[in-house]
Amino acid sequence: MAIPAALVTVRLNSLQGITGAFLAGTKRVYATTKIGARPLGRTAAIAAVNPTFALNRELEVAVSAGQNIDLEVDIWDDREDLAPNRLAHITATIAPPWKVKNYTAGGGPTLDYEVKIRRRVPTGAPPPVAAPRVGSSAPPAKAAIRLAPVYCVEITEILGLYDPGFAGPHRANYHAGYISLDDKGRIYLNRELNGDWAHDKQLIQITARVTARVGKLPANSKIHWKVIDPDDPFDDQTDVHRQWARYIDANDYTGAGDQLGAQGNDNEGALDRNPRWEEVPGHSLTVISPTEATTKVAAQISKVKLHCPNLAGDNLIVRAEFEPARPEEVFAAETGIMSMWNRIDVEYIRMNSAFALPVADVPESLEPGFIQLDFTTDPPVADKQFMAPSDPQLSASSEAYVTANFPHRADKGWFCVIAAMEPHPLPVGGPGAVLADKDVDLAYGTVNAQKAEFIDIDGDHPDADFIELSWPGGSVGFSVATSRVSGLIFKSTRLWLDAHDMQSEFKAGDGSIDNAYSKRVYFYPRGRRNGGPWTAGGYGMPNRVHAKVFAPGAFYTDGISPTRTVGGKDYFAGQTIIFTHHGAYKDPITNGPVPSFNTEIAQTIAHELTHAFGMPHKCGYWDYRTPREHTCCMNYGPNWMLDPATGNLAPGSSGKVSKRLCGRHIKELRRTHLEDNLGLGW
Amino acid sequence: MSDLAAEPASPSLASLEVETAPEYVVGFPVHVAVTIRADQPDASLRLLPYADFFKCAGAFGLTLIRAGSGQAVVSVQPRPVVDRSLGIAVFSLPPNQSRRMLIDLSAFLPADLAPGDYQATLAYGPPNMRAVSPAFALRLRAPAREECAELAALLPGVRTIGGWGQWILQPPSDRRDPPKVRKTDPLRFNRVLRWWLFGERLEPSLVQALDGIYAPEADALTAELYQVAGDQTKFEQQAQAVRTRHHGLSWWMDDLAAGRGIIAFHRGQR
Repeated sequence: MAIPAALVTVRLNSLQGITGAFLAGTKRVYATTKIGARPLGRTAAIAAVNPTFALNRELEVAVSAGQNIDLEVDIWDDREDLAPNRLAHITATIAPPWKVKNYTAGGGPTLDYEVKIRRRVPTGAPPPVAAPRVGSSAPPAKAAIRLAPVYCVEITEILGLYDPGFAGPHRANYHAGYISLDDKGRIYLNRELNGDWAHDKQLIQITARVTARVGKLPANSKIHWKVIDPDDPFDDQTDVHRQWARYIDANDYTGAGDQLGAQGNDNEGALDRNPRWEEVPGHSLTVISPTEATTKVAAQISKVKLHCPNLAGDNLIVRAEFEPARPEEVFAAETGIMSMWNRIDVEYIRMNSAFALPVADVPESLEPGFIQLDFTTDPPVADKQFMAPSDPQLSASSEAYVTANFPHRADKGWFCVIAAMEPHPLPVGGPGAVLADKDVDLAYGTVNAQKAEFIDIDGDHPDADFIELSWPGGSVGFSVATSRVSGLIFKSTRLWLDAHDMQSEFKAGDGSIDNAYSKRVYFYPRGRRNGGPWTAGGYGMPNRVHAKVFAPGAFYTDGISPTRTVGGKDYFAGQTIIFTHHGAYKDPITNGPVPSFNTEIAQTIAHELTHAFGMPHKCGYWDYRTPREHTCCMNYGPNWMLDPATGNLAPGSSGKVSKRLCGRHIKELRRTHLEDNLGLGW
Repeated sequence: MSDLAAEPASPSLASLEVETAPEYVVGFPVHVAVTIRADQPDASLRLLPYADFFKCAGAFGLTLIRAGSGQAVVSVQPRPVVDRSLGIAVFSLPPNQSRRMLIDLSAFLPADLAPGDYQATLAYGPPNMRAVSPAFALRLRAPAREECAELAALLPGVRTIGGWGQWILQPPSDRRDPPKVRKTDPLRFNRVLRWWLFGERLEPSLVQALDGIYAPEADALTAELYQVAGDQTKFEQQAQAVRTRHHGLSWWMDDLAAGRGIIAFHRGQR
């Protein structure tokens, strides 16, 4: 950024006029604030009628000549599952000359703000002025008044920082001079400065230039670098549901869930190097602390390498000040917010006759997890009508296909998505025959000495495969786990239900399937188990329900993510095959993709690539947004979601899967260290 | 607990039966044959995880203890989840049926495993239907000089592609000349099957190398070879023989009857 015309410190002091009438009928009120281009997050809750609500938001803005500073304050009613209701919208503009004074904006409530400090940057040394001599009739001589030197610092280059708004081969690209003043700059995890993969290495190299607007640079000039850990701004977006805002940015809330407002110092990652500061030749380095260091200025320039925290979503601002700072006047420079991202290249491989995958629609799904997916566009490969001879062979055959057709398989930082045709020759037949269709009593029994449920139906049905249970509250399907026929003449078949699993307590881990599914909850018609005693509830079915029992149907899979085995353990491996000619995707009349193809596939790919980070499916959560309309893409459509209040299942929550993630998946994706996944071997 | 004990109990799996070879060679496949059956003969078990000589991790877990030391060198449990989309297919075990699975334990073994005698225990299935085997002995010897040379040539690539099971599915560089396979070859099962999947001609005589622990699978593969050769009569006779002699491989014959043979499929893809 060029040297600004002035540095203006703007302070949003308070909101005035929060009346009872204004708050009437609201649920939970807060404000969002913005100074210039930077959103400053949510405030604490405006909990009580109080004429004055302190905002205390302050920002130094670097302005160019003639530039306005726009202010924006919105007051919201957080209605949780319903869209937030904007109660007030207050805007103001601070125009040049950015006069230092107090201001008021808005018509109730009103915003009290001020320009606290305005420091104009001199354009150069003032011209000589006439210096009259007392008692002399001689014409005044011109004399220069000795002024304090003025030094201006600019941050001119950040290697290792990528601009998502700059066109190039990736979704974010290096852009000379870009210092993330839009707060969107990306620093990649596990990357060298040039973008090459490097295990647990993440850094930037910052260049600052010092210009003496008045005076000369002293010989011992240094840049004093400071690192600031700003708040994570994602959860302050008004479309982030409060349930997930708390999970994603816990230090913005009290343990009891009270909203504190945007709080910095919330990075969780570790540094890959101690000290994090690394010298660039020619600019000797003195480390003061993990957040401060100085480097020597040579020919107006100073540089330093800064190692960054190793978790996605962590962020930082770097400030460059000039040293010695006193008694000279110094204009420091500051980057915008720079955030840590995982950048993954995804090789998109398509068989000639497979339907094209909507890969352009996928990346936005994982971006709240600070994951950048850069899909390649490889030329199509030869058709293979069937991947495997049968369903049991599909995994091994798919793995072999990936080995043979994923050119970057051995390269670090690469996933692949393959558009294939069919998994295997189609099973014969359609839906399974109906074996029973009647009212039955649910009964309790045990599986492995743990409580479970079963039903009995008349007849000899060892092949019973699937049960649809209906009651006034809904209809839910269960697979049959085991069955046993009894009776000699009048036979009866006992069908044990395969409980619905849910992984709602998952945590980021080593990428293994064991870790992803280490904590499971099993839901039955009338209860649940999560490793402990049986808890009544589950789907909340009555004892007597209607059961429709089916023989096996012609089920076959529409996609597979082959795992990799290391030491006998299976790991997610970032390899996904979509069978685009599956009956669910191929229109039998047109032989083209069904109308919902792109929507469904984008969701499926997002689901599978989230697995690739070691995440389980069936979390049982809604997506991160409010209003609450859709569920996390890691769920299966038929499953009901978790009711956090009861731990049981919420009616009416099935069939709402979107391509967005829940807040837990977002946060745990950010916490994932892909470089430690033994299956990936990166 | 006492209340639960009075409740009806779901059928489950009986203890696993394991057949081993007398000796294995460190670095090469470690095939064992596992037979599963229900603990109640008339029960039907569904959603069981599929495993075979291509892949068994996930479906199975292994505990391996160095004989005499008490020290576990491998301790891996089966996956807690069985899910098609995550790479494990499922199958059903009908009433009065057993199923034999030839699996390769080399995927579980550390690269630096020392030759010697070990005590092993296998576990199979998801937590709600887990079965374990009695402890059984595994003897691993050091590779001989020729075997060392072969391991040095093959093992790095095998590790890259995901193990010896996947090696079977990678076409050999020479598809014209069938391999010379002896009964002492520790890679003979994989080598023969790989040839049958990708070799220019079938060379059924290779089956003679598959004795010992491989004999039941050799019978099943012979049925496949007859089917691939188009000899329906001999195929049906051999399939019947397999059903009679190796009850636990009846499922394989069912697959062949349904046109799901692996040799035919892969040869058709060449």
